Amino acid sequence: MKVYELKNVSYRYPTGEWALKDINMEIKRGETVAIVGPNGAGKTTLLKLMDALLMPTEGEIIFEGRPVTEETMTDHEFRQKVGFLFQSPDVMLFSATVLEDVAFGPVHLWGKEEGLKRAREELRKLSIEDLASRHPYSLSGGEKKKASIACVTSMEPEVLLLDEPTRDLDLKNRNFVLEMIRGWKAEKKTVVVVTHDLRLIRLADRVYVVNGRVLFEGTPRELFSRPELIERANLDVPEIVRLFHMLGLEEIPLSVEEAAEILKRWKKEP
Amino acid sequence: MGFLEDTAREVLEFTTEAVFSERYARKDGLLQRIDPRLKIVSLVVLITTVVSLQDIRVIIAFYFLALALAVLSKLPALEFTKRVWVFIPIFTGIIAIPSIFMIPGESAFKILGLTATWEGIRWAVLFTLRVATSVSYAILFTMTSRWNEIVSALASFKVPGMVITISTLTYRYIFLLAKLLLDAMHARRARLAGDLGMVESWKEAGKHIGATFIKANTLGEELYYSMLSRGYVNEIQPLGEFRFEGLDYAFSALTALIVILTVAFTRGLL
Repeated sequence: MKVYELKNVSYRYPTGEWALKDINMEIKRGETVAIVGPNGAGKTTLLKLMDALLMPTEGEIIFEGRPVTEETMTDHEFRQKVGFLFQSPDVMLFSATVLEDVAFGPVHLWGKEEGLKRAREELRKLSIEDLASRHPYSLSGGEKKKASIACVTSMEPEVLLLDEPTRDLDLKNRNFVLEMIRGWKAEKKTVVVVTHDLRLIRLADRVYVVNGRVLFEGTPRELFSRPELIERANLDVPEIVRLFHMLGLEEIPLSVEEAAEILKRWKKEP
Repeated sequence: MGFLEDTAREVLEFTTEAVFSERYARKDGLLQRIDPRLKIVSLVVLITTVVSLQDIRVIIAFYFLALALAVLSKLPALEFTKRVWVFIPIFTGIIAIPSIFMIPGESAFKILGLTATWEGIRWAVLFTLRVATSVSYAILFTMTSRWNEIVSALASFKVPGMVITISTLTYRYIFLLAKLLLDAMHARRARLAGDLGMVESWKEAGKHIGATFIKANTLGEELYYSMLSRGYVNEIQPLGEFRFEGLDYAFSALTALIVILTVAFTRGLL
């Protein structure tokens, strides 16, 4: 079943400049989709359109069979179903304490008592109960990211829109985010992630390369098989992929482990 | 640039200190355990009493009561006293010093052809003590209360939700913007050799202020989207829950007793 369908969606900034032109996209339930592209390609704008925070200048967005309209912006059901993790945790953490921030969404959806209960539960699930009474200003980058994730997951969304979730994080916190996404994927949640992180792209079922328009749609393996596209998407090419391109091998691995398997097979072949 | 940089750094340090002053609000002292609603009421009652007093001895007694409350609330007495007395001479001096020479009465001494009167000196001392004592109670309140408690207490007094929302967001983002401003100033400093002249430094300050406004605008827009995405409709609901306990009743009784005794003493009934 299609969760999102974008039909010829275009968006023009108030300055008159076009951010996106004729975007056609489909996101199915339970899929993990990566959106990649250079800076300023309109990827964040695309997520905001999908979260009904902005309305398309042209075209139509369909969510679960219904068109996204101005009313969707304040629709409780839509807000509960779709969670948006913003790139900067500083815009997600605006209350006096982390608990209040995490409870912000649930309280608006389910009222104070239930909202607080769910927020505490979410903090416990993410093992950050100790941050509950802390002021967001006093948190480290990793703690802010975890608190921001809790802000979204406390609403128990079915669809997660993630804007560069691993940006500016150290290895440990990047791994934490990756594990969270693996968990959502296992739970068959729909995940749309804007990213430059190769490890995240590898997790995706499908990838869109966007630069004002959709330049490519396919699997991560198909993307990494096309060096010219990787360049246009302004992505780092993994060293192992570069090696296979240089060797002129057709089969492209997405990880060192896969490369080892291919090379072992290659070695065995006469 | 030096003056502006120093000013910005001091503003940042002061505001950051205001946040970290929550470290006193987290201590297990007397006032920290009092219901914030009661603290607000007591603060208003005590300050109103102090400003209506004419007897310097009673004002001094109230000042020492504030000091005693500070000690019982585990606030460092020296820091508390410094916070009160650093600003008092600056702000009250502007008003109090001229009155020494302007209020008619018995001559005390002469300086630069101006005659100071005993009545003028008495009024200046009374005024300074009133301000110092009132400021002491206000600082006691802010040092022993956490921002979310203050906001929740104000909300329980039916302060309009929009006022609460604006003050919460201001409190959260003032530090972030101050830090952004300071970072920008440091970045410019790193590219400068020598000092700028006064005119140039003011031009640079103008650019910084302009850039900060633009950043604040962008941040505000993103923040609104982030709130909207989590079901925001028109205001932030403070989540603090308070319960009146034994200590609160005792503190209410003590405040009432102090006010009654003061009124009785100043009217000659004691």
